[in-house]
Amino acid sequence: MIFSKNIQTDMYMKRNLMILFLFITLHATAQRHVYVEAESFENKGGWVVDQQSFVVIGSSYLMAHGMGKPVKDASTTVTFPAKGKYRMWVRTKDWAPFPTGPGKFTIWLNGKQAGQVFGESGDVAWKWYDAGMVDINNEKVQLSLKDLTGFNGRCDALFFTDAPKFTPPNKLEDLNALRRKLLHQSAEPGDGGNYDLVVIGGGIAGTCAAISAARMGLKTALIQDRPVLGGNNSSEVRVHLKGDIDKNYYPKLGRIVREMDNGDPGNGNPDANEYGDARKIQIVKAEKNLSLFLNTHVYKLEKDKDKIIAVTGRNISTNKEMRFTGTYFSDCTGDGTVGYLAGADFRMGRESKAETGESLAAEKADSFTLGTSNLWASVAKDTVSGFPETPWAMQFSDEYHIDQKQSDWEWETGFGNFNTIIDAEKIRDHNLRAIYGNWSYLKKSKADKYGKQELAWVAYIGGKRESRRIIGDHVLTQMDIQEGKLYPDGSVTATWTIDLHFPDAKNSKYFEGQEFFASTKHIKVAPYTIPYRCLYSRNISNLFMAGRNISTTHVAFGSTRVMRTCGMMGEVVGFAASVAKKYKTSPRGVYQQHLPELMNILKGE
Amino acid sequence: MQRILTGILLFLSSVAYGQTERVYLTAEKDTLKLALNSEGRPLYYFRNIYTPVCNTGECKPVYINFYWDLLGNYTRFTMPANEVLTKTDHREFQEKDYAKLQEILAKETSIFSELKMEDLVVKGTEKISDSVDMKTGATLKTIKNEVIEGAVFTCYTLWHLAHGKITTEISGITETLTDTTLLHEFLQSNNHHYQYQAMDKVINTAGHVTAAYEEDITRIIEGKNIFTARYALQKADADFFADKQPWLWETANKAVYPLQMAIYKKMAGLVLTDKVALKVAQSLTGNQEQVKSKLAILAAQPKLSQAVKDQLGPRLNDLFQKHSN
Repeated sequence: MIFSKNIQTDMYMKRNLMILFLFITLHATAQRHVYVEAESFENKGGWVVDQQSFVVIGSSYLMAHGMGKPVKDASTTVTFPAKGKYRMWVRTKDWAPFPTGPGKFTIWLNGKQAGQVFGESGDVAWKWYDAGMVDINNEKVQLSLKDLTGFNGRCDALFFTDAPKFTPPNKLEDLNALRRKLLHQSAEPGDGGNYDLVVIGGGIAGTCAAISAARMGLKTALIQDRPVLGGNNSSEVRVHLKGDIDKNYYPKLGRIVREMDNGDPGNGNPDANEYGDARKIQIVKAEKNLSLFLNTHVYKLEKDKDKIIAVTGRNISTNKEMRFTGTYFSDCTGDGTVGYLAGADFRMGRESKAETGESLAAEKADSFTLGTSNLWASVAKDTVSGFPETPWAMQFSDEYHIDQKQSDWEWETGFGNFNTIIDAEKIRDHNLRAIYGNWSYLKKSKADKYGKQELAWVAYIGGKRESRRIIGDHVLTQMDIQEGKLYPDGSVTATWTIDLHFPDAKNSKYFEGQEFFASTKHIKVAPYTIPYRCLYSRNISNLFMAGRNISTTHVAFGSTRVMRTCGMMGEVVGFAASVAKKYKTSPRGVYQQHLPELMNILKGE
Repeated sequence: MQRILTGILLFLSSVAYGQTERVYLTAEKDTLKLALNSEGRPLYYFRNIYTPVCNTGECKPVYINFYWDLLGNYTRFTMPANEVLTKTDHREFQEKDYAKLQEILAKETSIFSELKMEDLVVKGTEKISDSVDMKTGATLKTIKNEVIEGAVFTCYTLWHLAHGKITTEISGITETLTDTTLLHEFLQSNNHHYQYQAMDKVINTAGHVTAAYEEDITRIIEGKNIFTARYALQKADADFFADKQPWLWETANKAVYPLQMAIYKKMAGLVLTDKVALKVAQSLTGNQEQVKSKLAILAAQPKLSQAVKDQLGPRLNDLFQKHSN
């Protein structure tokens, strides 16, 4: 979908939704601006939509993720308000300025290249690049992005203006204002509906929460910012499910998790089908009380005192907005996005020993988190293939390289040196520079072993481990876990070790401060239960949580974070929401007044 | 092929005039041999191993030849004539099993280094235990990739033989053989273990490079291995670079990006000749980081020649403003 619009001083506006773009009447002196969001291209060719940096750049973008082979052109038809001369601006970046990156692409108007080669400026910042004047001889213009390398060139937007002195702003606030003026946000968001429970985040936790609530009869919405469900267990990330469901204190839990489980293909399996994306969607779609909203990134929230009233999501490619109202909300975003937007108390990073009394806690509180993985896999082919040189990537030698045909969990970046949320793009790109640099080395220098191997898949969606933890009425600690405390509200049974990753020592030696490979120590635990009070916010009265962003310390999170465990948290949230609805009470009210009823549900009584 | 080669060497040792191997006895009274070249220079170490591989009381003999470099790093193995390795069910190793064994043994760190046999397998069997992933963090699949199924004990025993005490004994012997020729050989080799070891001997802790080895150190800095290059670059003191500044600047311009940035950083710690400083001032191009690093080199100079100042022009102020705080 393409939006174009003209601005004039009195901003008299008129909408024409039939042709799906906003249009403002034009006076003779007005400037003509056309703003094209790359992610809204009608035909995306081989380019992919990336929304992972939405909180930083306020938009999704298109990326040429071809693993070193140029991807097919993305194209769209743009309607200009009038023929004439326009200056073209392109919003892009050089994602690997070492010294210049490989993400090169060109722009074509009606089959002719316009402007320079983009993506090789040596500047990592997202910004507008002046691409010179273009002649628009026809109101309808065919616009294409031509990828030159297959190495993650990216384009956020194109901007055409007949005002020669107008420079589109780079400052996020101003840019957002311009977008708002020229695009979607001047329209009211669509009505996404009113629900008993709005679940934000369609990973394993969120999907299980939504299914659980729907089966309890709650009118439920599930909002996910990707085209697939499953999050880290989707084919976009390919992490396998961990944590046991056969040691449950309450055997009723884990049933929905079992439905989600597509068998164990391990981590980073080259076969996408192993992760069962389609099956997961079918299961959700089969629920009559459940409405699924894929490709919808929630970025705005309305509150009344300590209650969330509504959230607004934007489609990651069409940019169409939808508003969802509800009685209860569940933050299953992993990043704790909803809690953050609502002003929920949260914690990110490590607590100190003095604060928590945990033997495994850090001496001093800090911002250290576990990292993010971009897994990858190669497959054997019949013929020898090459791989491009990657001078912009990390450099390896016989002395140090990772001699692997397929990745596992250790491929991980972001141990306090990057922020999981605001540096998500940097982290992913760091992972890509490690993967491609290493692969290029293996192909060239270990041809005997790797000559016939070909990259089959590299994740462009980062598999995050740790972000914000929303604080609930109870904060789960190492002592709770290791002493196996059974609180009256103990709900989900967790079995995974306390598994806190850190940079691999050898990797640190060679890439100090730039680590991309992890180690871990597994601290064994006996099966223990997670109190229900970890699953709702202590200060936002209608907010549940499930997944990695529940109320735990950093240390305890090391054990609760695995996906089968997270899925069961979702199941509990669904049950608790049904009790809350029945008694018109809050998540806390369920704990305080109706705990026996919730526990009876968990017991299957 | 390797087997034949060893055979020839053994043969030579008995008939040739020059000594082709020297025999040592290890602390455990095993025979360790050092192979020598025709001039009697040390080449590598090897052992003709006989070891029992045991699984819950049942043992089988294994014959195998192991080779180590001069610092005790395992390099390869060969099978003695008429000897084979077998799996639990007495099936003989296939070619791919031998290849996999080499891969397993070549790993400096392995799951075998952190695990005991009883952690790895189900008691009384060679079946890999399902709970092993809990102990290593690796997936079961990864672990299965790291061992040969049906020969877990063989892999385990042999890995520990290849990476055990022998490695320190070997480096100890080589220490006694070290002379200037060996140091040159080490520095000029493609073996980074040799290079690091020799660098630590020819560059003292203050960074002074022994004159005779300066040429070797420059070759390492401009060499293919960026890790040894960076090590030499960072370790050597300013005196070492005093008469090599133009070369260092050229090397930076040719280097891969991370090394280039490391060289720029090094140059900011050197008092540059006017000529080299001018070259830096003439090349304030590249991405932001490159320009910043080059400006930092100039800003760190105690004084700049008029030619450099002229070359910088308005950027001169830029330089001092940027680096005055």
